[in-house]
Amino acid sequence: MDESYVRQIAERDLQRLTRRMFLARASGAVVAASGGVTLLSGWSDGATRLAKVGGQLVFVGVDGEDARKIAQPFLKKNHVTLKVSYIADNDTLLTKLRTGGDHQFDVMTIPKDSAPREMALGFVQPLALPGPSFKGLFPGLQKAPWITHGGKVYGFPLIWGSEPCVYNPKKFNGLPPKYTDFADKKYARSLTTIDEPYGNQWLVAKSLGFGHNGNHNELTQAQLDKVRDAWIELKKNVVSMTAAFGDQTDLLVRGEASIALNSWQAVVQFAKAKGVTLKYATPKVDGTYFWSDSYFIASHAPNPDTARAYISYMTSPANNARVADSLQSGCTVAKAVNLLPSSSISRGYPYSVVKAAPMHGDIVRTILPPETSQGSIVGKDAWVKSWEQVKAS
Amino acid sequence: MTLRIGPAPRARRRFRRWLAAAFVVLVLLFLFLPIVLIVLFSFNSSPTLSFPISGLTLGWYREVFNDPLFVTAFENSLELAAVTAVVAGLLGTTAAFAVGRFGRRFQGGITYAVLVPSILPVLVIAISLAVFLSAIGISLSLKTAAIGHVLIAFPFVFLILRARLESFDYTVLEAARDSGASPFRAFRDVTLPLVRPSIIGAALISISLSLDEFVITSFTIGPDQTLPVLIWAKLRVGLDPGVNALATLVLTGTLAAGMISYRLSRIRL
Amino acid sequence: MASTDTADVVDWPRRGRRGSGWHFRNLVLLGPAAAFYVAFFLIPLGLLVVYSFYTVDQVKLQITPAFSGSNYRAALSGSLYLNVVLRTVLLGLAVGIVVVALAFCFAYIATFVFPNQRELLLFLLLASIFGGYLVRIYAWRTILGDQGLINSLLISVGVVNHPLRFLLFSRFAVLVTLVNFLLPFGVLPLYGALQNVPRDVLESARDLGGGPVSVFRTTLLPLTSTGIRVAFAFAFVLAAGDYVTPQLVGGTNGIMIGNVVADQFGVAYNWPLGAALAITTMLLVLAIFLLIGKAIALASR
Repeated sequence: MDESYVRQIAERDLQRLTRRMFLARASGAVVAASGGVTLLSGWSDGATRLAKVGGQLVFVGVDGEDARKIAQPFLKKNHVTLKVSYIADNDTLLTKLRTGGDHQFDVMTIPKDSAPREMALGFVQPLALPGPSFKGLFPGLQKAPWITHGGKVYGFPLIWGSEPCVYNPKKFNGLPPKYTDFADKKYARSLTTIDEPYGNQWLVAKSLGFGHNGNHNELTQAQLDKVRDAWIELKKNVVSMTAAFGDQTDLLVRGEASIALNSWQAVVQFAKAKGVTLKYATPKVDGTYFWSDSYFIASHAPNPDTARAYISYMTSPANNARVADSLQSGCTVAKAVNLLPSSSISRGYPYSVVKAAPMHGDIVRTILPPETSQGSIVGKDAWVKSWEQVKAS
Repeated sequence: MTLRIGPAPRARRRFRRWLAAAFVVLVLLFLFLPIVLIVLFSFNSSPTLSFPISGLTLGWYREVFNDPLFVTAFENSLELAAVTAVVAGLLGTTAAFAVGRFGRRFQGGITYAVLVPSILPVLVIAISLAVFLSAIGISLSLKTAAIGHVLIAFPFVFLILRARLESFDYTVLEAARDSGASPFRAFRDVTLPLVRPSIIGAALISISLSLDEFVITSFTIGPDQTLPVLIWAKLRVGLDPGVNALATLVLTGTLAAGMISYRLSRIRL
Repeated sequence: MASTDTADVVDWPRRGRRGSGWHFRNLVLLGPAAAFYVAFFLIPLGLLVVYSFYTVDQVKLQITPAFSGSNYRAALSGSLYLNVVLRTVLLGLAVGIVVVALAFCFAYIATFVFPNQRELLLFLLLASIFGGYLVRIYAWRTILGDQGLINSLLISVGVVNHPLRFLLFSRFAVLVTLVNFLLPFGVLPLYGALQNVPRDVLESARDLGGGPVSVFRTTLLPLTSTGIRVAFAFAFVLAAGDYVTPQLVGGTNGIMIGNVVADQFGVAYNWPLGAALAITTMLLVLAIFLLIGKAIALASR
């Protein structure tokens, strides 16, 4: 095949009119003409009555965030079939979007550190959701940098949280003050963590005091090498690096490991369901980072109106409380906090962080290093290589 | 040293047979041990995936059948497996017979060429296939996933048949032809029964490869789901024992299918 | 001597030179498979090869067609990738050897020692494949873990006082799990190949006084060499390409080339480098096959 054709493919020329796009537009026109539609916004509570809602809704995201059971009344009333596709990690989403996903997916959940890229690349469309629902978000989240691009709003946060450690209280009373303390002999064959290159190294970079202004994602190669060496020391106490949280829970439940670094509050819940009590905490001196997942609609979603209705329904205060509770994470809608069950872990989140507008502190910081090296600050590829060296040591 | 002529003494032969039997039993135990556990845990009322067994329940099975996501994924997986077995089986068998006619060196080269899809990391094949398909405007669906599965299974079918046909004894075939049988009948009555176990074995391998395949599937299936993709994604939030029930269902289903096809294959039509 | 020339299949009238496959009817038979292969494998592969010479603009997330060999240079130099590739190849070799040894014994016993039960044995063997892949790995955790089956058994019987730690999250665990999954794959081609060995030839070789090793070398090996090569290929290729098993039961020694390639297509978003790594690994593996094939050919002389 000749160079120009290949270049076209490689550069993902969005100008080219494929059969799919043509059909999508044609069918959209037919529906609009025959339906005589209006997009109504009954944003006050979840009871929306939208004429064009129905059909198939394709959800792509993390298991649990589609919240099928919570969405049931909405799906039933509007005769919507929810087609759910789970991805075990967020990077797969980007590849899927590149290979046609942006024409096939409706609703996606994207974490805050990755969202800017998705927006910049044009894989998502503006939400165009004025109205009480959006205003129901915490003030800080309404102005969150990861949902806006070029002055338009693209995303709707659904949950947020921090990245604590989860540990087995029967084996350990608590956590040491710094991550680097985990290299101590007493933690031999006790540790586990998620296999990913950014959060793990960010935490150790913070622990070693690298970076400035609280931004530990900007390191020089020399600093990154020290992080890598520190991790190689830590690795001696690590039993296994897991691909996902379910696997991590499995290790803790079986007793093969006792402390999970770089974990999730929900792991405590998963373990409880299996009859094992775990606790979560954060090293006192080092702290940890924040994350948040938001709903987005794909740029050429086949069913965008249903997608908007779904998002609107799920972000009513009552439903947002249910979703947050089911995932042991923080609510994003202000009124939802009081609707949480009294024993819910979600109540204990530091909501003052998201009330402040604009937000400051760790929640607006990203843990991802810059895309490419800038001066002496190394980029993502250096971090990936460093992590691979840790794994291969 | 004196030359031993003639068959080994009876006692030694019996010892050898005993040893052989023990070996076979051990191997089968080794192969089935994890499967026994899977089936056992699918009935375990405690949701951990380890001992002790606290009680027996059918609850996990009920949960599987009630969950529409599981059911759809299951159906998709079965469809894909059937298509893969048939298409890869046909392509692999026809190619194996055809390649046999070529010279030795060509055959050797073909062996390596056919293995290349298996040597490349599956992820790489998955992505290049997905990019290629979306570039020529084919939208990703169950059909495109089938292409990926056949691609994976084809080398196995082909090579298994090649190993069988390599030094196949053609004298029986010649005899049949000499007695006046047409090429078709000779093939059907002589060649086919002799290679049938290999074909069936290759088909079963295709089915199992398809049922376990989640890498290519997740990239070429678009928004649909299959069983292994679902299981792999569920790892994110917690491996629940429902997957044991699923695995047991798949096992019984495929065993039943295997036994039926085995019986059918013995019927002379 | 039985005719082993496949030109004597006599399904079609003989035409032209012996051993020539270039007849119309033969090509028709080969056609569909070849077409499928070209359309859905060679062309995407070509795309991949082209990609491997490009570089990536991380900011714009575009693959820039700047034709350069930099990815290959990165792949071949530096101790990281070579280290990982070596590790992967060694694992593949270990698994391949164990699988072929066990599979050959099993296939031999099924064919010659218990010929009346051979189809049953084969069926049982194949049935075990349907236990699945991912779920089976988790079952192995239960068997090999600190509180797992084997350790509990050994401790209760009193053989050891502490759980044997090397059983799980180690290379041993990866080997056992992979052999468990791949054994049936190895048996099938060997079984097929052994069907071609005439029983009387085998018996006369044995009766002439050779020990099992020389019987194997002179009789079995030449007739089953393709079967052995295919069985080894299956086991080696599937083991070397597998990065899920090492990640789940291999502990912190679990990194394989598949992980690294996956990283490039995922977190690092560097498709060209991933492509270059994949192609380099593939060429290396092909080279190993050629060597092994030659070794087997030499041994059977």
